[in-house]
Amino acid sequence: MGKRINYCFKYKVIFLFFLNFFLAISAQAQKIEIVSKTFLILPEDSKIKIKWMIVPSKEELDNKKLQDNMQFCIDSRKKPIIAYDGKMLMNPITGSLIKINKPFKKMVCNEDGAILFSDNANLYYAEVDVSTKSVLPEATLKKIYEFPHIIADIYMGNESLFWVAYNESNRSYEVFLLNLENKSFQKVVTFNEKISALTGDKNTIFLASGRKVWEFSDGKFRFYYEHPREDIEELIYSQKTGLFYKTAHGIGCINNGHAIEFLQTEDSKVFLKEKSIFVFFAKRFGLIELTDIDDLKRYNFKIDKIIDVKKNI
Amino acid sequence: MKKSLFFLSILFFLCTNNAFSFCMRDPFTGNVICPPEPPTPTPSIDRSLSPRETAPAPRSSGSSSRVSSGLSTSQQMQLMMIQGVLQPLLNSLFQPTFPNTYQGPSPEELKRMKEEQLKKEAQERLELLHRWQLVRQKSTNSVKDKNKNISSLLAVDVMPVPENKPLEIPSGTPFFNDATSVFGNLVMDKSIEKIEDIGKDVIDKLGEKYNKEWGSKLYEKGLPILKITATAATEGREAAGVETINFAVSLLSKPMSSLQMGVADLGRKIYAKVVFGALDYFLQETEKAGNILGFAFSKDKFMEDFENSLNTPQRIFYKWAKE
Repeated sequence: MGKRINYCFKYKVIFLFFLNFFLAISAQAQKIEIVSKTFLILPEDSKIKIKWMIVPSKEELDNKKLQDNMQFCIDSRKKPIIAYDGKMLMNPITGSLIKINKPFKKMVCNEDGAILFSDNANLYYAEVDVSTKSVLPEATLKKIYEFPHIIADIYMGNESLFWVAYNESNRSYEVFLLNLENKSFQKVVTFNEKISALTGDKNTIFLASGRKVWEFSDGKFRFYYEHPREDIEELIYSQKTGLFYKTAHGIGCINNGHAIEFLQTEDSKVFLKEKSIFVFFAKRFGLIELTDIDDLKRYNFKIDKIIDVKKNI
Repeated sequence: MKKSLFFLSILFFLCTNNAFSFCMRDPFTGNVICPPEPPTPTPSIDRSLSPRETAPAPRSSGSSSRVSSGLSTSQQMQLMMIQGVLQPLLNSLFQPTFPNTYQGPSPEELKRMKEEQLKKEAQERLELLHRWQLVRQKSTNSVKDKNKNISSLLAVDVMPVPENKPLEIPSGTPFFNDATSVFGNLVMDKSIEKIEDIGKDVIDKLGEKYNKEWGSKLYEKGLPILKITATAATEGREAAGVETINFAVSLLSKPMSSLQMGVADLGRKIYAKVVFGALDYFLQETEKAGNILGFAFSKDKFMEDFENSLNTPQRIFYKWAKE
């Protein structure tokens, strides 16, 4: 009799254990972690895939200045580099920090991972100082090119580097293209409004002023796109993927005057490499890779109207 | 005392009468220094003297003195004896108190040493030059490679320069009705602004925005998603014949594997763990090594110093990452 009670008790314990286990799994399945105030708007049959490189933290960094002081790019080994406050570089995946011996204002990376720095007076590359005895490794900025006068900003294009300077005499912005073969910049165009973003290649330049984007090619300007709500903060271009923009709250792809703002979020930094676009969420320190982003080219077209909002998928 | 006075008086006599002079060896150079010789008297034959006696007094080499020929042989003999006795004494009197026994290298040796020194210096200079050239070459090659790399990466042809005057921007820009304008700014939408992490409610709010009665369900990956079908203009469309397209509006979810769930729950500590993990481990190991080898190293003290060395924004960032 005692043995039977013992068996019953044993089975009950096992049953309760499995019940708890399944409930726990079920509860976990319901617990969905999403990134707040972030939306993906993609054509349903697109080839784009999402890969998380750094899981975003649960809490938000509530320091706008700190977020603004961060710059982001992807190096040649496809590792993220975050520049902080113009004095420090960090790789959040490998856990390495490097101090830069000279403050810089802008960090740009080309598609192949070459990282260049500018303090608006000179163009540099960074070389790690192996002889340093400090706890944190240090890098020295080595000068590549001295700008002829103080510039407004530098911009990376498709296998090309541009810089913009303000000409006070005719109150216009002059765009120069770097030619490293003979270490010189060639003035390519003059624009009479403030340039907020610029990209392009040796044949075509895209520049943004306010909400508008202009294309310059064959010596002529052509209106290219106007964002319906926000100023363009950044333009990114590669021949493989096309032209992308970033505003304060969105990242989109422009083609033939039409755009898809495929990611809406706050305080993001963006970098284009090959066929992937990398988005760094500065507020939550998360990093995502959207692969095969060139597929969006297929969907950039004019929308006549919304005909249906389906209840179920 | 008496003895000394006696010697000194004799010395005075000899000097005042120019009875003899003496030479000295320079203690520094080792050269023999003699006072200038008095004019040699013209030899004259004294007939009263024997031929042996007329012979001039033998001149001793080195430090020996010359004797005046006006003295008699016996006087000369006496003087020579006195000189023989006095010479060592006088030499000792006129030598420095602590004579330098080391006479120093000879000029030939000095010359040879100097030549060797010069040769050595030249050799060292050559080696330094060679080393510097190697380093310079290496450095130059490295910079060249880098520049070449950057150059090849950024190589561009110079674009034809357009006219310098700013080009006129056409006015009356068209407004394109594209997906960006259709969907609006979901992030900034006031109706969803305060909703965080509740996907269903957000989607419901989106439904309200479009004035449609529609629901949401959990997508296979656990995401509430909204699908919108839009009619599309065919111009610029590669897939010919397709006139509608489905847009999926989805909230972005975090990866949900069990490991990633655990990591995600750590929130911002993940970053601190990743970034400062290596440093923390290094400091722990250093502390251990210090205990074993007997030197004091405090990880806490080090971190305190490290934090103090950061400027305000760095400290904010560090604290944010570390907490």
